[in-house]
Amino acid sequence: MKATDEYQAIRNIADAICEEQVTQEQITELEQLLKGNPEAKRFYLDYIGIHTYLSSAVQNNMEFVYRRIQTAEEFIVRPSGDQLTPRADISEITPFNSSLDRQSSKTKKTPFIFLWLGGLLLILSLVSMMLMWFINNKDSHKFRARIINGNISIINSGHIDASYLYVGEYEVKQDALLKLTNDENIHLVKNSTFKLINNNEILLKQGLILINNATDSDLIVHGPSFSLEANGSDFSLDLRSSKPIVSTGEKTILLPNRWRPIHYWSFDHQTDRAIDSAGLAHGIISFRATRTKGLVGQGAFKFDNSFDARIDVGSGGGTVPSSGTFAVTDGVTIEAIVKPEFSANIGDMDQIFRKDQSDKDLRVLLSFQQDKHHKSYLMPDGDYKNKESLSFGLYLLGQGYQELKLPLDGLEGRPTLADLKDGNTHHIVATYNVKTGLKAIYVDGVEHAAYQYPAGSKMLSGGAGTANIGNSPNIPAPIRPTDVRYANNEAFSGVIDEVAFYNFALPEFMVRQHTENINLGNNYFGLLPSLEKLPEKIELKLPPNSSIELEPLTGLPKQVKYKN
Amino acid sequence: MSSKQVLSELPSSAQSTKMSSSTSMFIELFEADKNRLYAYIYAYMMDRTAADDVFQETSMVLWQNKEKFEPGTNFSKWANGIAFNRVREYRYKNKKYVLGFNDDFLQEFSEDIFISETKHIKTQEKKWKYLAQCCAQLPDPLQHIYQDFYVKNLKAQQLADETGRSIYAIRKAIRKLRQKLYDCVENSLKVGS
Repeated sequence: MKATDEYQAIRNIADAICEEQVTQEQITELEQLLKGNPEAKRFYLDYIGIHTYLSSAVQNNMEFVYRRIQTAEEFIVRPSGDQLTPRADISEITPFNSSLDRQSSKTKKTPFIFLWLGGLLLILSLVSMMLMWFINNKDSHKFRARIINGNISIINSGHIDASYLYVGEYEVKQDALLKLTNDENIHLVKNSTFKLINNNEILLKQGLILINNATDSDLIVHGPSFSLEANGSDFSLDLRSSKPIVSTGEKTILLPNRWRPIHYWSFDHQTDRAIDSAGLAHGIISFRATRTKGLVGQGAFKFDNSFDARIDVGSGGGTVPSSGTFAVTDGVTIEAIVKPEFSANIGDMDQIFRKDQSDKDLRVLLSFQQDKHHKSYLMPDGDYKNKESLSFGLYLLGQGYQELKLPLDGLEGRPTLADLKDGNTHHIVATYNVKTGLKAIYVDGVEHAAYQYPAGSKMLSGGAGTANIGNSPNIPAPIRPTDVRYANNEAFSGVIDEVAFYNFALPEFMVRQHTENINLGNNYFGLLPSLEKLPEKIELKLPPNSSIELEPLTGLPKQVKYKN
Repeated sequence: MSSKQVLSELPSSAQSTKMSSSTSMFIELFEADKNRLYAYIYAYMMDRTAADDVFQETSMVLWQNKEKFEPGTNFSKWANGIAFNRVREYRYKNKKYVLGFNDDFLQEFSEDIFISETKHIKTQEKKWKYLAQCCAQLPDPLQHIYQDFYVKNLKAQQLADETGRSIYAIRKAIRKLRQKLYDCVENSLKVGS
């Protein structure tokens, strides 16, 4: 008998729990059903687990930030969205070089003087905090915007006094014009909701805001997934639809919430590992991947198409599916700069990036391929036999494992393999956006292949399988004299540089921007190549006097709708 | 378009490229376990908002105590212990507002799960993998329900409004979906073993 039938009564109550409709009477009944029955308890927990796992409760509701600041490591857990109750903890690092150090430091006693000093610091901190609270409250009450015209009502913690608006949250009942301390004019249309934070910051939750007379202004307008700085020029932000639109001034600056890759290997560090400048997936370099002059920055790696030409960047801490830093929810981008020497021998494959497990379900790959046989999982449908291509493979729920093919045939504006083997560097980007279902491959900033899946098709990703740059992590098939695949294996031939892995799809605008940046000798993000970790925040100077659609998920520019 | 450096960037000399080894280990283990841990907490709290609060609190305590975790031991069991205490603390502070098991049963439940997790640790890891495969194998009507409810995160009422079906019918379909997936995972485990 199936467990779901055996424990039907438990399942009914568990369903009510999943629907958040359960009553205390039902819970009491559940206790009776579970009491003294470990197997029933296991069933209940697993059944609930199915619901929370499928609803991606953790990924959808929570954000986790781990970072190191000087000698302290910080961990922040906060609800996603605009809830403002993060929890953070900072722990001071005492560097331990050996277990002996750890043991000896544990047994050390803290001298009394340090306890006394600690107590004094605590008292001073409390006094400072009280002073700051007092000053802020005074200041917040001091800061006010003048209402020139319009009708505004308070939503939350606001204060309107005659023709002045103080810090708080408001709704615009009738088109309104406010004037701030630095003389900026703030126009808000009817039904806009906003929050006045302080002298320089406004949060727009809904509606349209237009800032003008902002010549000397450093005003910041926060949106749902980004912030905009006036930087001395006028601009507007329209949140009346699900697609945020910014009309920029001469110097408007955007701070997107999400822009940073999860992993980024610039290959510029002269160390025994390929350092990850965004995460912790430092790569182990096999001896046939050799350092060479950077395509951008100081260094890159040359792969000689042999079995030991690889950089193993690990599993990202993954164990079960959807775990680890290579696990994604919203989409994925794999990005690299290459100077390929792909042989295009029949059946050959040169991996730029591949993460895999032995059962292949969690495979993610980006590679040059020359398909020996027809394969049913190649998209779009077509004849790829004996033809060279770029391939981007993912497993999508409801679709299975499929590869998007970019035939390198020179047709319809597509590059040929010869174009890519011209001795110049080429920027390759593969993206999949879960929300839109769009999968795409770009070469040198131009989309040359795309396939549309049902919107919302989730990826299988993460897990215990390792990822390799320049090769496949899987052991190839045993040697057979006629096994062309093993003879070539899947090692890359050529140079790879600047590999980046993101847990979202880069919008087309940003792919083009990355290409432009590297053509100027900077890294993808417009920064000078550096050995430092990528910064946590970045400022993007938007095209002047343009109307730009932003991507709601990341806050990144998606497309320039028109120039004003 | 050019990019500027970060607003609040620290001087380069202040930054390090590495977390401490205990932190790196914690991050790996926590990331791998957080979904399971959330399900464990939700089973007690029976409410999304409360579960989020307890999970957030648990995550912080795990972080604060990461040095106390013995490498090589079972992270899930250690995390469960901390989570259970946070559950009890939350219930104590919010007595009037919290649904849930009574205190005695709570203890019995956690003890039985402790034993069960020890016995079935390998099985638990396989379940998530099979769940993903089972989602892909759903027949069309249930696949649509899965996509709408779990992927697009539409509420049951929204689905009812869009399809013209009653909310009762929608809830019934979602329940059927969960049952189907559970049966599929159970079957996969039997076949796999």
